[in-house]
Amino acid sequence: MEDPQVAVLLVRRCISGDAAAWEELVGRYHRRIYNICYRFAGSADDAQDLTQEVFIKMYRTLNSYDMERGAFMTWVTTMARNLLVDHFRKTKQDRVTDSLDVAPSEREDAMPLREQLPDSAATPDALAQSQQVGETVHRALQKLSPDLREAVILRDLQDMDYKEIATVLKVPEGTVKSRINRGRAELARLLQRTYKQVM
Amino acid sequence: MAAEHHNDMQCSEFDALLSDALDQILAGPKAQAFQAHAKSCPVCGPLLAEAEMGKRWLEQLVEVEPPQHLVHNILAATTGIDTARLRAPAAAQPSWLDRVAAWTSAAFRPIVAIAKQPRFAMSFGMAFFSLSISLSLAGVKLGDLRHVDLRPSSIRRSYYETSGKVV
Repeated sequence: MEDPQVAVLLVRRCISGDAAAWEELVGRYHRRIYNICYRFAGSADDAQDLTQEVFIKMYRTLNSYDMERGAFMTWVTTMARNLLVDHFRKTKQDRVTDSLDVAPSEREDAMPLREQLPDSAATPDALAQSQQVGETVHRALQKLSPDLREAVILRDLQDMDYKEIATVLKVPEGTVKSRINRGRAELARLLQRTYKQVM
Repeated sequence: MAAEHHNDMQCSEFDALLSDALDQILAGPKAQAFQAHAKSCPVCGPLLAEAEMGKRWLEQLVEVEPPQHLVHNILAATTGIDTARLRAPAAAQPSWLDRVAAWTSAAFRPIVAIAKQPRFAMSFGMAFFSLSISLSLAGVKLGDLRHVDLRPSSIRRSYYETSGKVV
């Protein structure tokens, strides 16, 4: 049975009061939601709290899910995205994309990427083997504006198609594509700026 | 982005096709025009290279493992479910009989430990062997033993009967 159908059945069972179905639903989706939260919020603690919030909201509003309007995964992702945006506004993380004209040293929160990368002579592919590089890219991702970051996360990390992303973000597909392209390019510039030899 | 013409393709059109190009679904004349524009446009060429590089960097991010207690916390926060599967099984309350057995076992454990030593085991074995030989010589069969046979008069009679047989 396909995953969307399984999800719909689980939702129906949850609504009818089946606690085991809810447990299964949590088990099935918590990893994905946690990863979205972690990549967007940046910290494991925030991701854990936000994931919990997403599921609490999901539990309270499960009755409102309409399978005719889209896949359950899209509904859940939309909910997660809205909570993440709310969280971003509340915490006033003013982490707009860095201007390309500003030198790294001029940024007050400049990230010492050069110090984090283990081997300046290695290629990006070789460096990618290390966990340190993953952490570096993750931190660079936090530098993107929320609009670009969420688009890139949903496309490149969650492997969602453009139509689904457009539904989640409530913007046209063209805008989604444009944000993804800009997000990728900004990320490359952020990493390149402080680590030119690698690129 | 400036709407300039480079090889019959505008920058806006290039931008719209960039995702498809990176997804490798762009083919035919469109792909050729796209590549030609990338080579000739000073804005779109670097954009293509950067977007491609950014995509490559993002591919290096692997899925992270959620904390172990996340599911438990979510269930506790929503339904209040604290399932046996997610929780370590609670120890059953021992009965008074179990407690007495445990206390007895603890009290006699040192004695049993000493008795289990090989040298004592050998001594017990030798003692049993000597006893069984003595009983056999005395004509006592454990299978035929009754509690009445242990009275002094019965023992005396058995002794005389055995002595008479020997003589």
